[in-house]
Amino acid sequence: MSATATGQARRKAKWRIVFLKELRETLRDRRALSLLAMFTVIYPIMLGYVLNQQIERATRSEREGIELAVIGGTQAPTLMAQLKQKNITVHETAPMDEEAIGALLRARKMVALLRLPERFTENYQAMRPARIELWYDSATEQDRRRRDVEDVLHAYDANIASARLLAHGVSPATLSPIRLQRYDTGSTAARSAGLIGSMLGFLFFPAFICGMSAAVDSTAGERERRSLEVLMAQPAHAWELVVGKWLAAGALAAAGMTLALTLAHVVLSWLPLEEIGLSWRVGWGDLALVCLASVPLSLFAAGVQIAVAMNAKSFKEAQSVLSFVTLVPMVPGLAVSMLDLKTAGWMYLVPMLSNQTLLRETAKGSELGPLPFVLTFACSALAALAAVAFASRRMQSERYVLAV
Amino acid sequence: MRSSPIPQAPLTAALFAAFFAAPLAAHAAPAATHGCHLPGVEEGLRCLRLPVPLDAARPGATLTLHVTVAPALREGARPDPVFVLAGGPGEAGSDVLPLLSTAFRRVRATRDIVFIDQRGTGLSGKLECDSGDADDSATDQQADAAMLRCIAASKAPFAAYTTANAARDIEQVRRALGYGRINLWGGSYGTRLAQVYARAYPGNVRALALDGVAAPDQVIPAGGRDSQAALDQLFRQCAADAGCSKAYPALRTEFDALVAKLDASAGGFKLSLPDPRTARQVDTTMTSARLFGTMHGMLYAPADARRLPFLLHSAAQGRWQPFVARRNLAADFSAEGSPATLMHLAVVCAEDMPRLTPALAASDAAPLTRAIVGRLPALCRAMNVPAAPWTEPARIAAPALLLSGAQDPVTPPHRAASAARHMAHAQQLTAPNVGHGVSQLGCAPRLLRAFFDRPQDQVDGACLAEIPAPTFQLGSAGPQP
Repeated sequence: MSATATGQARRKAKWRIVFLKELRETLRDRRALSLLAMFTVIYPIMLGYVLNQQIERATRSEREGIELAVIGGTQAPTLMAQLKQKNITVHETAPMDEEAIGALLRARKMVALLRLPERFTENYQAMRPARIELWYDSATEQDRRRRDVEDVLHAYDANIASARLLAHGVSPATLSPIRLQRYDTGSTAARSAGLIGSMLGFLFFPAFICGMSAAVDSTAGERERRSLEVLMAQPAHAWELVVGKWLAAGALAAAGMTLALTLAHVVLSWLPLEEIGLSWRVGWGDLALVCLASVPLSLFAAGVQIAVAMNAKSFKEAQSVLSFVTLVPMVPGLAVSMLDLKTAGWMYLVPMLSNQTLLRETAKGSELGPLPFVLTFACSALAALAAVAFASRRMQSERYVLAV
Repeated sequence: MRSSPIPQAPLTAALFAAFFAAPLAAHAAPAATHGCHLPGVEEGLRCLRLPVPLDAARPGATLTLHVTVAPALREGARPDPVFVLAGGPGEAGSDVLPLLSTAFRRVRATRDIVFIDQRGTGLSGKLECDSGDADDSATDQQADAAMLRCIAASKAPFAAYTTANAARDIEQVRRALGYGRINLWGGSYGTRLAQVYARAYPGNVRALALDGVAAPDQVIPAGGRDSQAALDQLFRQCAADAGCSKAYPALRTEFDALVAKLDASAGGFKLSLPDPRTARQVDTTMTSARLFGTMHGMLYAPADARRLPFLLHSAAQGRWQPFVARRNLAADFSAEGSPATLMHLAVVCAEDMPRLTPALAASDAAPLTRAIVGRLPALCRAMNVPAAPWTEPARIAAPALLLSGAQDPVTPPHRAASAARHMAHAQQLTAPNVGHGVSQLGCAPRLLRAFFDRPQDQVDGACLAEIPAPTFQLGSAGPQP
């Protein structure tokens, strides 16, 4: 073995030693780790819970039927039959005043209340418009099921109208001077990805959270504990120390993010999203690619955190500055969704935004090709290297190490 | 000292997750298809244009099939799609796309739904007569002459438009789309096609759901008894209904008198009335063929059938406007999308008419279908298609769900029972208050989903009885409220 090769091996060993030491130290703190794990796990679970609630609510009417209170329903047996046919359970109710109706609807057991005035039959037989009142409480979030009730009313209305026209010898075609055919060119997968997509950004958040503790502790923390001086006294280059610490923090961040993405994938694949007209069309292979392309994001986060923490005057300051800095990467993503921008090539050049875009487009089922993956990987990787280079230069300055 | 700098991110995340609504999802279909929009469905679908040989025995000439694919909402959950076969013969898959949001709204969650425009229908080279504006005032003789002219003018090779060839087309579609075993849903004539396919390609069929089941030996024009039974049932129901029997106490007598009067007057009544659609004063002729034809059509749907006593009663009083308005209804609404008349004749003349023996015709004779059966021999002579050989139906091994409406005038439950005799695993469900077509009503969409998910299991069809009977129309105000 040549002298250079041995030297390389030894040098390699040094950052690895630092890396392992930092990793070991971080992993030793069970409490901090379990807190992190909880953070990583909780969002995918929450996402699953919220979606599950949606699905529950959407399919409940199918299973349990819609509860509808009716006053004076005996006047319209056909309407009652049509309601029942649509799985709507009709509760014939005694007449009540406005206040009582409000209280009944606020109790949320009834989707709505239909009131047929006493003169309903009379008006119906006289072929005057017969009023039906639909009472509902818009604050109880029963819109979807209320619309089901309204659909029945519309069908009832249309059927009677056409029967009356026929009785007059007029074609019911008269009622449809135009026939509107709506065509939606938005792919439905894209729409559902848009909806789920807004939630996907947070799956990358662990990249910024999970390595933060290690990054701050191994720099500002060590300096405050005066153990950094000891480390600096070792025969190692400043960059070797920084790289070791950076990789330790980055590894944790990457692990947390991958866990969050995997868990979210499991949850989203398991949920019967199709019942609410959504879909999650990401395979394990797609997910692996996204995770791989997102590894540099974790390294970038760790690099920035180390650079910032090293420049902070104290451990406390490092913590508070970082809490703020962590939110900065979210800004492009929020701006894009607020400005409602179309997916464009440049989005793959902004760390974090590129990862969100990548996952969203994958979920849409778009044919992406390798470029977005490469760009996503490269933009974070370059930024990470820049941050580490900067931190290494700072580490070389005595002012930093002894400034305390 | 080690501390964890956890910022306020989880809270933000929680706020973010709270926004949600629920529109639809779909996704790319196999490579050969292209995106398309078709009437009856708002969202984009996938379409396929597939050339198939016109005649498998004589390669060369092809025709292009149109296939519409509605991809499953859940990706890859089930590899076996549901192929939808429309009725008629002459109705196209693209004509019944609205079934997607009714009958198949549950099934589609996990399965692709594939609508085939059978050869000679819809967008697969529709064989029809360009009647221009459907002429409601023409006499029966004029209408027949126009039809014969249309047959003579067509250059289509009618003999190629058989059910067997259509089944072969289904197989081509299945391969082109890269599916393994498929499920079939057939409605009315589509049930015949589905059975033919299941017999020709038994290994490729996972399950069959048949709605308005045609028996394999059923002869389409021989529907006199069934339609008469449906009409008799309607009269009985009116007599049993307090309101109807009070409003029309002499309904059957009035009807009989009407028929006698129409039969007596050669060529029918001349009527002069404002056209129901355009309000222009027109002269039209009411013949017994038109009376029975319209009544036969109305019996398909009980809600429609229960307007019939009112229309008949009015006509018996000399007020024909309501009846004429109802008779013209199909033409009023069919700016586009009438059934493929010539394709219908191609199938019926080759496959059914040869089996309509004089004995069967005599035993089945009934006024409601008399006119239809009477016209067919002349039209079939003009069509000049070879008789399709009859083969004894083989047993179908795939599990089948047979849906019937008890008031169906064309494919009543006894037809499903006949079909079930040639099936190893058939479940027959009957909806008491339903006519022709059950799948989109009441709990049927849920039953279809349950059946396709586990075709071997028993489907509990008790809920079909909850589909209510519509009310009778007792006067100009429409059905009872």
